[in-house]
Amino acid sequence: MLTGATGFIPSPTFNIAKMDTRQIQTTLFNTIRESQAAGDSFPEKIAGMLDISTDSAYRRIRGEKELSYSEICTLCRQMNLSLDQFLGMGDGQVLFSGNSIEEGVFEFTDYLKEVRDTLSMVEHVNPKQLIYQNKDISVFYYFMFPDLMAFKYYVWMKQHFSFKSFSQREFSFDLLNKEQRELLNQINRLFIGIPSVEIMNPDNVLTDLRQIEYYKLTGGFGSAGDMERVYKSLESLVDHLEMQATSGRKWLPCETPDTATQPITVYVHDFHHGDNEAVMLVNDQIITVLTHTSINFMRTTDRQMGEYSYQFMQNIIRKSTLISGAGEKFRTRFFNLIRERIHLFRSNQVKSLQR
Amino acid sequence: MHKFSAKMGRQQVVYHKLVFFKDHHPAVKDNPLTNMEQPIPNQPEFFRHVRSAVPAHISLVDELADILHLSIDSVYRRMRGEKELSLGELQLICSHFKISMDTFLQVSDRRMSFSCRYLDQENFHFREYLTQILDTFRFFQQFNHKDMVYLTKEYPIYHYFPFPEIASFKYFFWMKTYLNFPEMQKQKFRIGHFLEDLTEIGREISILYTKMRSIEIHNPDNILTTLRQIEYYKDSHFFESAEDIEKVYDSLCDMVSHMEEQTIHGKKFMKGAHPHSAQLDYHVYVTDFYIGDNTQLVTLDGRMLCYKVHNGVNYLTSSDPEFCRHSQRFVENVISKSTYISSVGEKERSRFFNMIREKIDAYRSNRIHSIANV
Repeated sequence: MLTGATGFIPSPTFNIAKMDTRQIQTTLFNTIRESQAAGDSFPEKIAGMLDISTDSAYRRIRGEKELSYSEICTLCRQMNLSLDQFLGMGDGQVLFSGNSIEEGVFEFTDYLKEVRDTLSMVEHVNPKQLIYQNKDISVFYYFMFPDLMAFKYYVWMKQHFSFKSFSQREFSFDLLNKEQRELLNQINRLFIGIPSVEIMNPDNVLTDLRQIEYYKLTGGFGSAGDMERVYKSLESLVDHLEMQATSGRKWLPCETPDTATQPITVYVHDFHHGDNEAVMLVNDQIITVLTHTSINFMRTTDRQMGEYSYQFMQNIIRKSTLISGAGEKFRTRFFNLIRERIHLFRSNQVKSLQR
Repeated sequence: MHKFSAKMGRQQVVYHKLVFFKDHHPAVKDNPLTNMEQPIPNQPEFFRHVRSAVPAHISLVDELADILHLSIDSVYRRMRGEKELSLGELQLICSHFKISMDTFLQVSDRRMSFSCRYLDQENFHFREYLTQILDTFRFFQQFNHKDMVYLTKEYPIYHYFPFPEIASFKYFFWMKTYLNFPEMQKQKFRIGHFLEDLTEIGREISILYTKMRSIEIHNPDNILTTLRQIEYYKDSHFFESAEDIEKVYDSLCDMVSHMEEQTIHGKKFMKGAHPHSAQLDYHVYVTDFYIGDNTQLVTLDGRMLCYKVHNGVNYLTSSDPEFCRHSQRFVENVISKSTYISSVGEKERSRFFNMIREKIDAYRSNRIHSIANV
């Protein structure tokens, strides 16, 4: 059972035991059956796919006859099923799912849809809680500040993923299209509906500051005014984080604090540069989300991985300082430290590799 | 002599250093995305896929006979496709060789498989963790062509190992503070605590690490985590003596100097060894617009593995071609926007390492404090 500093106690009923061959075969057929349209004869469908008699299909469905290599491959290919999730891949193996941003294959719009769909899955499930240990500021906060979001979008597509469509494009605040802006609004709304615990570090802001610095030094901003808008947007984000931490509630920057319905708990420390890793506790499951290659993410419901990640975060929390709803002096100091950093970069007082 | 001339332009250097991936990694040559139109690979093709996951010196037939409890003849019949594998046999093979059928069959509802063990005091102690890294490096040595690329958030842990004082500090911090090992909770850090057995394992890993060609992408902020960890222990009075604090700082400075020395020569060698005796290239790029996530890509005779750090110092390993290919493209992209400082770029190299030394000096002289003590 999970108990910890965040006070969430999910029920310990979810358990994946290693399945034997017959169980695997039964689970495989059950999964295919669930995807079948009502009214279709299941044994006939299997018989058709495997080119065998209906009686033979029955024997396989009941587990009396073991599936062969070619039959397994045919079923998984035709039904587009993950066989790894049934085979289990052996001890010490964890299966993750997720797509990675790639021009023409999985565009930023697809990425936003995946984020939205992931959050939508837990929208109506209770209890739930998102715990996040950051390397950078959580992407969900970028999504709330359009000017900063436009800059981050530009950096991600042009610098991190080298989209050809961005190679000659100049930075502008109008890069995101209508569909993307609408998706961001949906994500923002879903995100503030989830109670969360954030483990922050004063260095979380460094990546943003260094990226602005990079464009400042390489002439990537159209004008000094554009750069100032991005700095101001970043400052607004920090202000919003501080206001949320003060009240211990989550709300959108375009709304007032009295609209907040869900709590946020913020802890700070500076001895571990986080992994941009999150665990989402949803009813009796733990979903672990790992970020990789910039903002791509992969998720798993593997119980052991989830429990380990949860306990790791609880341990970091035990060594951190609570600044939400309490600890005013420390909270003020923490956010002022971040503002000082922004000021130092903005006034060109910090060395970069180019300067 | 370094194979890349100092006169060579940076773009050319980038191209030459990354070309080994494209030569050897089949996933790079053709897009491995799902193609439902492709025929289902037959059983002999499956066994060829298994073969590619096993070091060349290991007898696949003997291994299969052992795990399936079959005669050699029966194994051969299956490998030739004369006798079909059953679901149970397929499960045993995939489990033993860590084969992903989703990757092999290219289904679009695919899962990416990662292997991992979780560091904890009871089941996988830190000594076993280090031993596993050592065994992994020994495994790498069995391949003819082996290269590694490291996208750092912190310095790769192999750099700490030859420097006992900073290495033992990191070991102690990981066990006591990151992982909360109960046996450590009442202890303070003292130089010499772990120097006998753990340091020896670490040193062996370092030796093997110098036997692999490497590309590392560093960031001037890589040093921050260690400096803040020292600061955390200073504030918490977890150092047994002030003298130990100084020794840890000295050791960290030595480590940085050795990294610089290797970068100057563009070669990997152990501390104290002569640079001219070094055989293998050490390519360092620096950037400050992207802080990595300690992802490591290893290429072994054309097969790629990706190591991804999670929860502090734990790591996940995957040979999923699509995931590796994406990670590789991302790393190549970061490289293309970074500055190359191995052998060439003396001005940038000096500036980079001096920035690191300035940070160490600022923390050491208490001009910068932790957030607990601003």
